Formats: sequence, structure tokens, C-alpha cells
Amino acid sequence: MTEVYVAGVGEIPCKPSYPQDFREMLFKAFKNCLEDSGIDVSEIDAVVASGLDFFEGVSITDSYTPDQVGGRLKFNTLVTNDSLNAFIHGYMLIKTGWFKNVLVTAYAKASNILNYGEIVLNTWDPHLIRPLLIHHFSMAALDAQAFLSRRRGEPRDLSIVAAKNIRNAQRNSAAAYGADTDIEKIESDEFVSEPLRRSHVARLCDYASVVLLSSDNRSAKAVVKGVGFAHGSHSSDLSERVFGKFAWVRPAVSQALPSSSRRVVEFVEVSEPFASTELMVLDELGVYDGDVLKGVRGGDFMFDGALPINPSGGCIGMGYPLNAAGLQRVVQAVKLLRMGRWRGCLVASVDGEVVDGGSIVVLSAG
Amino acid sequence: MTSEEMVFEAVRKCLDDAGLDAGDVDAVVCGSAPDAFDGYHHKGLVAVEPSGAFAKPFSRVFVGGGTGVGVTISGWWHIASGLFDKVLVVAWEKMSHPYPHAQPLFRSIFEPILEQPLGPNLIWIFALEMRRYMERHRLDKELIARVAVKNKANAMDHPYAQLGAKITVDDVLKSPVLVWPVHRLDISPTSDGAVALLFASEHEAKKITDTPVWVDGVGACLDSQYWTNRDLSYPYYVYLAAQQAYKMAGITNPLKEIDVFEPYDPFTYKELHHLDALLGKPGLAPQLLKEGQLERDGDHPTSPSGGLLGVGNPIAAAGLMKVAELYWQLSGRAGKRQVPNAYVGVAQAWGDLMQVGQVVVCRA
Repeated sequence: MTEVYVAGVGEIPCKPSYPQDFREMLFKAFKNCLEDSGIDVSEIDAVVASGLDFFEGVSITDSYTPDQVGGRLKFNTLVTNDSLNAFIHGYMLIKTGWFKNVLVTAYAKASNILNYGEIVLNTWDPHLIRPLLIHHFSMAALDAQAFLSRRRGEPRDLSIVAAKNIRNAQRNSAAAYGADTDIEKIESDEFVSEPLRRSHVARLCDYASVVLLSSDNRSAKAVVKGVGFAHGSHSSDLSERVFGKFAWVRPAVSQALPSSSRRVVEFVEVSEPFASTELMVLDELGVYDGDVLKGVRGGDFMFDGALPINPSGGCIGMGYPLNAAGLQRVVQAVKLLRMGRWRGCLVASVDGEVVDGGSIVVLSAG
Repeated sequence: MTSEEMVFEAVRKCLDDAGLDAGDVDAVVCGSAPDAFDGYHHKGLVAVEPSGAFAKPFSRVFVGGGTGVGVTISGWWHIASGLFDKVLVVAWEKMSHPYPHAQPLFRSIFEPILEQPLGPNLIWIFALEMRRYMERHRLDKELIARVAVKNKANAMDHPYAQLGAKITVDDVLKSPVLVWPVHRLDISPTSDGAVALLFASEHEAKKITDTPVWVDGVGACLDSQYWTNRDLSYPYYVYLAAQQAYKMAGITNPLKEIDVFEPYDPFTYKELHHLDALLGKPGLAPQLLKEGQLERDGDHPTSPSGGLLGVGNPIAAAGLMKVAELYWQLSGRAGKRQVPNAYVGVAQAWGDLMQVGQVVVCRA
């Protein structure tokens, strides 16, 4: 069976805004990836991009990908989900045995978006939900409240997560929002929608990343050990939504990682548009032995803890690059594995702020 | 009918045909074109419930008008990767939502700085391409109009056809000129539609049906976004996609080895333009058309379904409609449309900024 390796990663640091066009941003990330992998552009067989029309402001976003990533006149496709899902499609292409080197690309040009809340609102049914003008912070707050209520958590648990990630991001040169903060400072933040405070919400950023997957282990930086993805109870009219619980996580993790192998996970990178997202994913993953909320309070998820969660700083510390968040997490995971401290990790990414869906990838050091 | 209802109906018919339930499906991959048509952000999510994808792997792939065959190719890699055994592939388009017409939404596909300020219209662009194609091969409108006559007649035998009709070359030429040389009857309609197919691994397919149709080869190719910089008379990117698919399928002489062609025909000339690329010989398709070889009872039956010109053009679903026709033709279930001795077929879709080619080769 064909093994799939991460042969190279490239990114440009998260920033509130880049003066460059998204194509220039992606080109820089692509160049960094090529340099990291040591392969030539002519050796790339296929490109899998991630993009969502309303974020880009153009329809048919794949049209704008091939030129800046050496993909012209090659096999290309676009996955309109979070970019970790695009990564899995790239993985599947290599698994077919017909492709050797597949590039996965994602970017966010959030600074171009003037009406972000309105765009996310358009996820919902136009007759039943949109007229209510529900901001996605409110939707996330309902999730957070339901989760805390069900698991007997406290709003302060969200501040512990946010403080951890913002502090972790200080170590990461690609992070936009790292700071020497603490739980008390975050607890004094204003609410954006109770129980979510300002620092519990990942701030948007501009970002681009490119990952090269390969069946050739010669320049392997990491090995893809398993993949999984699923959708849960998402329904555009909210009729099926189960607040405070991600139904997608268990089916996805069961595809990616047999329960007997969960010890290989030495840290987790999870995209968390909200601090509550990190806890909701972790609660369903089954990679932590014990009560997740006790683990948070006991420091088990800190950088030096028993199971570091988002040692890169996560999206709260780095910036939230929309659908590029999944690939952002992969790049951070590979960087962390290359430090030599850990041998294996799990990467999880939700399919946007308000969707019960997402993807999981398990990596080991190359 | 909403997009959700359309998807549900197509999925229900597909699963009934296969004798399966949604619970039997391992994964779902869907395709739909611009989010603007439905007015939904992240509109693939619309298909989660009606396709029965709860707690299952679910994705949306999207390569503009090429999506219908693109989603087929994605179904193939889900299975060929070894990760899944039964994958539901569904595509839909709801073009009746935009009021008064979908055409202004197509403007949002163009480059926002360099092109959108010019107010481009798709028909202008295709008029440029059609004119260039006619010029290169010295073609007249009378010949190209025969594609509309053929496909609309073929569509009369298709139970899902929107515009099946008996028309003449004269009807096409007398229909209003929209942008020279494009007449109204050179263009496929705007359509609502949904299509679903079930893909299965070899051992599962044999359990489901005695007449499986095998995906033998796939190819995809994307050219530069700068469409003004390429030769509009020959879609080289479609040629390259076809070559990938033929290599995988072991086809060396497509004209001899392929029994049914379903090239993408949103405009009359596009069928010929794309068939040229599928055959790898610029200018051959018009010659075959002239000789009557592209008729359903000709030597090289092309768009026996009726194509987009006759059946309809629900953008992302249109390509999958063509793959469905291959399934019916190669399994001997095409009814009045049945091409005799159909063992190998090719379907192709095209889109984006006139830059994407998606090709699939199927075998009985």
C-alpha cells in the first residue's frame, strides 16, 4: 500500500493585513514549500486547492490558483471545505497510485472582507434563520454555553484555553497575536456574546500555506498515518443542530486512528475559531485519558503538559485564516514534529465557525 | 422545488436503482457551481441532509462548469484510494433562483480588477471563441447549427429533457443573434437539475448489479486564469485531460476505440471544439459532423443523450448528466437512445475561465 509523506511545507506568517494580492501571498508560500521539499516545480503532478466563493469575492475560485503554484496545465481540483479536507483529498489522490507529488494550497485574504459576519450569516436558511440576523458569535456562544452546561464547565475554562494559546503563540514566528497574557486579564475582557469574551474569539488574519504530499520518502518531513472526515448534525435551518456537541468528531477520528493506537498522539493541533471549539473537539476525540475540563484546569494541555493542545498557539494565538485554518494547523504540526520533541500528533480542523463538520489527520515524524 | 429537494430526489432515485439505502453508503461527494446561484455561503452544506451524509465523510469539489465530471473523478479517487467501498456522487444546480436571470452572476467569475470593470458577459466571450474556431477551420454557421438540430432531436428520447425538439438548420439561423456569431438556438438553456450516481469498488459493484460500468480512466487539467493569452481555437487543456484519461484506460486511438462520446456542449460549436480535443485532431469533429458520423446511428455517436443543448444545462450537474448517460448506454439501459454495441464511452466537461478540462472514460 502506498505510504503518503509530507515532503515539504511553506507558509507566510499570519498578519492582520498584507499589502499584497492573494496570488502574491500564495506564490511566496509555494516558493517556501518548494525550497523545503527540494523538488522541482516540474515534478508536481497535481494541485488540490481549498476555497470558498464568498470569502474570495469571486465565483469559481479554483480559476485563480494554478498560475502562482506551478499548477498550470496540470491535474487540479478545488475542495470547498476547510483546507484540512483538501489535504485529505490530496492524500487520497496519492493513495490511488496514479500521482506521486500533490500540492495542497490554501490562503486567506480576510483583510479584503468588509462584511464577514454577513457572509457567515449566509450559511443559514434564507427564510427561517437569516431574517433573525444571528451573528456567528451568538451561535458559537450557544454552543459554548450548551457544552459548559452539559460538561459542568465554567466560563473561566474558556479563558484558560485562550490564555494558553496566546502565550504559546509567542514561540511561533508565524503567529500574529502572541502575547504574554494571563487568565485574569482575559477574564476582564468584555463579552462578545456570553459566555464568550473578546479573547475567546480568534481574530481573522491574512495567511497562505502550501503543503507538498508525496509517495516518495526521500524528503519526508512527516508521515501521514491516518485521515478521517465527517459531517455531523449541520442543517441550514438549525432543525437538526445539537448545540454544544460535535457529532462529526467521533466518526472522523475512528477513520483516522484506531482506538488502540491513540497513544501515538503526543500533541494535538486543532483549529479553534473560539476557545470553546477546542474543548468541544477535544471532548470527543478520545485521545486524552481523563476529564477534559479537569485536564484544562490541571495544566495538562499546556506546552509542557501531558498532552499539549495547540502548542503552536492555535488560531487564537496565530490568527484565524478562514478555510486555510486546517492547512495552517498541518504546517504548524510538521514544524513542531521537526523540533524533535514529539514523534506523533493529531491535527483536527472544523469546517468553519458554525458548521458541525471537520477533518482529522494523524502525523508522525518523518 | 428547493436545492435540497432536488438533491434528495436524485439521491433517492439512485439508491433505489442500486437497491441500497443511505446507510449503505460510506461517503458522499457533492458538486455544485458558484455559491451565488443558491445565495448560500459554503453551499455544499445544503446537500448534507438530503444526501444522507450525517456522520459520514462529506465533501464538495468544484471546478466551475467542469464540476459534473470533476465530482465523478473525485468519486473515483475516493474508491481508488482504497479508503471507501461505496461513494455517493451527487451534483446539482438551481439556476432559477437568480432574478431575473443567472447571467449577471456569471460576471463574478471574472478577474475583479482587470476584467469585471469591463462588464463581461459569457456570451461575448464564447462569441470570441466561436469566431476564432470558425476562422481557423473555415467553418460556416450552417454546419455548426447542425449540432443543435442533432442534439435537440436526440433529447426528444430523453425523459428528463428540457428542450428536446425537432428543429432545422434554418430555425437556428433565423433565431435571434445574441452576439455574432452566436444565435439563441446555439445556446443551451439555464436549468435546474440534480444527478446522483453510486460509485463502488470492484467487489462491491458486483454485489449490487450484474451490469456495472467501470471507470477506466480519468483526467483533469487546468490552464492559466489569463484566458486572453491562449489559442481560443483549440482547448489544449481538454486534450491534456483526455490524454491522462486515455493513458489510464489504455486507449491509443480514441476514434476507433470509443463507441460513445458525450462532450460538453453548452454551445453548438463547443461540442465540436471539445470533440476535436478528445480526438486529439483539431478540425476533425466538424468533418465528422458534415459526414453524419456524429448522429446517434452514425459511426461515432456524439451526445446521444441530447446533451446540454437538448437535455439542459444545470451547470455543475450537466457533466454528471453526461456520465449518467454513459452509465445507461454502456449498461444497455438507454432505451430509445441506445447506441448499438456501446462498450466504451467518454464524457467530458469544461468550465472556469475557459480553462478546465475534466474527462472520464467508462467501459461496459
